[in-house]
Amino acid sequence: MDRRSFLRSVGQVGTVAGAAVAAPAATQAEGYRRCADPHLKFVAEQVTKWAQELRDLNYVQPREVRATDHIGAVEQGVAPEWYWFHPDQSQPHQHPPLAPGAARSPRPQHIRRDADEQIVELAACDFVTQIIPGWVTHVLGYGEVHRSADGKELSCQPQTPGPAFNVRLFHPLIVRVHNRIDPHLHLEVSVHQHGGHIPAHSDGHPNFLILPGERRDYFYPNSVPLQADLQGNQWVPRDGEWDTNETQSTMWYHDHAEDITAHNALMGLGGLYFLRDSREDELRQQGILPALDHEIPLVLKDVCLQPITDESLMLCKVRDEVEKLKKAGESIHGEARIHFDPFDHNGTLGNLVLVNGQAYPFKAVRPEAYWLRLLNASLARFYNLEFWAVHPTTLKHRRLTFLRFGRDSWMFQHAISQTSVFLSMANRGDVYLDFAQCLAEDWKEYWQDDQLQVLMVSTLNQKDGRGPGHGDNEATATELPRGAANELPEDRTDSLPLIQFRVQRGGEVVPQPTHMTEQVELRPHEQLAIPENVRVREFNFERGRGAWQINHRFYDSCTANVVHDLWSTELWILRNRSGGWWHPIHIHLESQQQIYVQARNQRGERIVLKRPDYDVHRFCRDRNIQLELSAEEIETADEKWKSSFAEMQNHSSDDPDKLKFDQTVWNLEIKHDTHVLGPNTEVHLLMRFRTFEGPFVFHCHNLNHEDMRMMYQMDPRERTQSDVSVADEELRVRGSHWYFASNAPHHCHEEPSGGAV
Amino acid sequence: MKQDSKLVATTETSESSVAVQQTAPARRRVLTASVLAGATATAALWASARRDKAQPAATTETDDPAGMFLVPGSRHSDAIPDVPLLTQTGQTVRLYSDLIRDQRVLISFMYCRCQGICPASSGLMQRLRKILPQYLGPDLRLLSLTLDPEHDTPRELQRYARAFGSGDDQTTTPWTFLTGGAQQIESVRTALGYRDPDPVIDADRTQHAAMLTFGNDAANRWGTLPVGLTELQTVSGILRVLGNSTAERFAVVPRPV
Ligand SMILES: [Cu+2]
Repeated sequence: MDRRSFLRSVGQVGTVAGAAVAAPAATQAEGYRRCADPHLKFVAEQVTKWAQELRDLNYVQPREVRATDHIGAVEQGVAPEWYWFHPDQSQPHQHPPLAPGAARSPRPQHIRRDADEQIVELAACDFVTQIIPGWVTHVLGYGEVHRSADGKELSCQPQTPGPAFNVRLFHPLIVRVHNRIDPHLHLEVSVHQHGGHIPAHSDGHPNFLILPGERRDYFYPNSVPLQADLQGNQWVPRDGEWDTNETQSTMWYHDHAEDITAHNALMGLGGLYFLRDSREDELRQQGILPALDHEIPLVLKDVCLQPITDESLMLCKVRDEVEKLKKAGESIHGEARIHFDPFDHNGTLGNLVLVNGQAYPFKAVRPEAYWLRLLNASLARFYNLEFWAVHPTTLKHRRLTFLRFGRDSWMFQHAISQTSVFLSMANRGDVYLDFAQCLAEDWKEYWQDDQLQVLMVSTLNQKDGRGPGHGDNEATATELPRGAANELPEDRTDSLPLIQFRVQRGGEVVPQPTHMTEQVELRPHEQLAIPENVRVREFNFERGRGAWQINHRFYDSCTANVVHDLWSTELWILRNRSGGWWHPIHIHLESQQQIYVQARNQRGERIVLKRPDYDVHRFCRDRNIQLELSAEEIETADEKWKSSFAEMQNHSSDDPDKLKFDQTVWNLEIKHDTHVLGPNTEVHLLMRFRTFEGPFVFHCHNLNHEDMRMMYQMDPRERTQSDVSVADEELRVRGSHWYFASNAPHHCHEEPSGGAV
Repeated sequence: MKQDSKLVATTETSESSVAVQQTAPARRRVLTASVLAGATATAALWASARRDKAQPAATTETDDPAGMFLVPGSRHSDAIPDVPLLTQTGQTVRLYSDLIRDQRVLISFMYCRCQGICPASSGLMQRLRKILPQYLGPDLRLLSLTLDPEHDTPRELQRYARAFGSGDDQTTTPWTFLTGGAQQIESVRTALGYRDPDPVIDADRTQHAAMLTFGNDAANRWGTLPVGLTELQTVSGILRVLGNSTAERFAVVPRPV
């Protein structure tokens, strides 16, 4: 497809959905099914583009905790940290006594709370919905459980993505999660709040499962850690000094159940989680951030839909719905089943990218500034997002510039002018997109009848689970993907249009005094100092045994691979040594700061980022740590990188198509929680482990890789006499009280019968 | 489990009724009773005394484990080609219809001349053949497919099988070794995900013998784990997929007292 017909096809508004889908059921002889196989392919032309308006997100409605809620009196209990606020144990169901050696922290003074906790009840459910109008799909999702004052359940409407959270800093929240997925599916769930600072019990640890029919009370303090100092060889928290620079902004929650995370997330268990504080209020009042009604959260997830028109082949729940809708006179074509291949361990890719659970939605906007809150919720797909104004007749496109002011959970100190957003799985991007730029004289030709079409497009080529850059041109395998060629090559078919913004000018103009700039300070950022004698840990992410390993090992729920002192700062080295595979590495618990990065940019040039106070070469030589580059190579690459950065920053408005790419992918001046490890990439980072004892995990966020056990456990522990001697060794995970709500022995302390390994 | 139903009724009434409303279709062959059993089984466990792990697993919750979710074309095993293969005794079998359909299976790849990971994979299969029936009963089948079909004749496989304790008695927990046409074996290998997008690595058979695939076809649940985990990790991961009840699925993980 050439550029013109591509744009024509994305620009059209008028084909009728689902005219006919010839889709014989898979037969035994066919073997492995790829998403692109004709019988799985939901022929893209059959889905009407830009016909559905983007729905507004639903938000949860927290309420006060009532005595009848019996916090903690559910099958999987509540975090022991919650009880620190309730020393009188006034709750009717007491928490079991802590086992010896069980987690002790935090002290109540380690969590700040400015309000009584509130409660939200969520139910993980399976249900049927229409992702594509006229096609019924069986999905998983979350619904908020609403109750009357006397505790009677009134309603629960499951949805995917699940309802979004809108919470305040220092306002703690209990989230009671019910697993109401049909027991015939035998699906456990575990809810991870991604990007937050959460007690281990409530962090969605892969083994802290909610079984079918069970419940768990998650405790989200919505607090930030205390600052801590090294005194002698002890890390000591500073009383009352809250590290508010760590205040998160755009977070999300998703399923994390061991071995089935990919399935559960693909089927729909995920949602957004926004934390807000007084600094954000200030920025909004000053007109630097857009008003609340100018926030556009966009969750991207690709699926592969299998069309089934023969009723005898439909899932019973779907068939019931189809019959019901047909009886009601609706035009229903059949079932669109989400294709999940349990034998695909490389990375599940879909052929249809959903935006907030909708295919090709449109959104009406004004020529004003908006806060786009982007989330890549895909299992294995990377996105390079651009915003294209499309010429009404020639279909020529022109890129909009925007300010990027957040990555992962955190706002930057200063926004950065950009034209593309590169998101690996689980990455978030906060974008200040001002459509008013199109009111300028040189955009005139793009308008028609006071309307302008802006498409959000992903320009990335990704053919398999290894990551972008594979496929037609193997030579690009180790490069950051080309995000912004001046013109689309004629044969380019890999640009995915995702959502259409319909900009409408004229009418009654309400002035929007928003004026974010690169100069204004958003949220202070403090560079972490490298402590003297800092503990260094190296993690190599490798292909091994037909799967993926960390330091030649697989995830073991009983092993604490990393045991460290609570409150300490450590220097971690992440290396991707698995050939052409990409691994976005997500580390739970806190933000991380990169101090050295070795990677390749989209031109294939080696790039090196190095913090000036980190003499990486000497540091590694002194510690016998292998470094791929010589000191000279580091210096010259660093210079080259700086000059290409400078070149990129020199773009002017008359040359908006200049080759640029997302400067926040690797960046020493911002916070991260998911590090993009492209092929042969090496990242050195600083991280603190504050407030909560473990276990927590870090893992690849290609969820198929994670399920194949590319995951490690880290277990910060309060330093005591007994721990000191073993603090650096791999240990068994401790305790049982956080595992299940009882004192049952922890399974890791027992071997199954039948002999040793 | 029946004697616990009163306890269930007192502690879980509202939960159960919600689950039933959501899950019981009006006219499907799934009986409301079995849905009820499913919805309340975990609650029953919650209320019941902890079982002795050495005893055989508890009764299954339903003899229709996948319930309404199993319709023609909906099985993950639809992706497994039903190719004819030869067993170590020279019998011709159809892979899916004779050895997998509605069964609980463990599948590994190996080849007799393999010096690397295969002995570990086959050794693990040998141990699992002893361990798993303690939790699941004898209703289980092990399959090992050769990646070297030109060399591995049924006779070779028979020799290999005996070395791993899979003798002629295949009446309980049978362990079948399979060879066949190179194309057939390839189609099974790629269907089960023992593949690499890099053609050079994909062509190297030493790369494909280090995982274990396990399926409960009647329940439509499949899983894969790398060889080399501890026995506890391996056994608990497999039971979660192969077990037909919560008791079976979490047999090695203690449940609340
Ligand atoms: Cu990975």
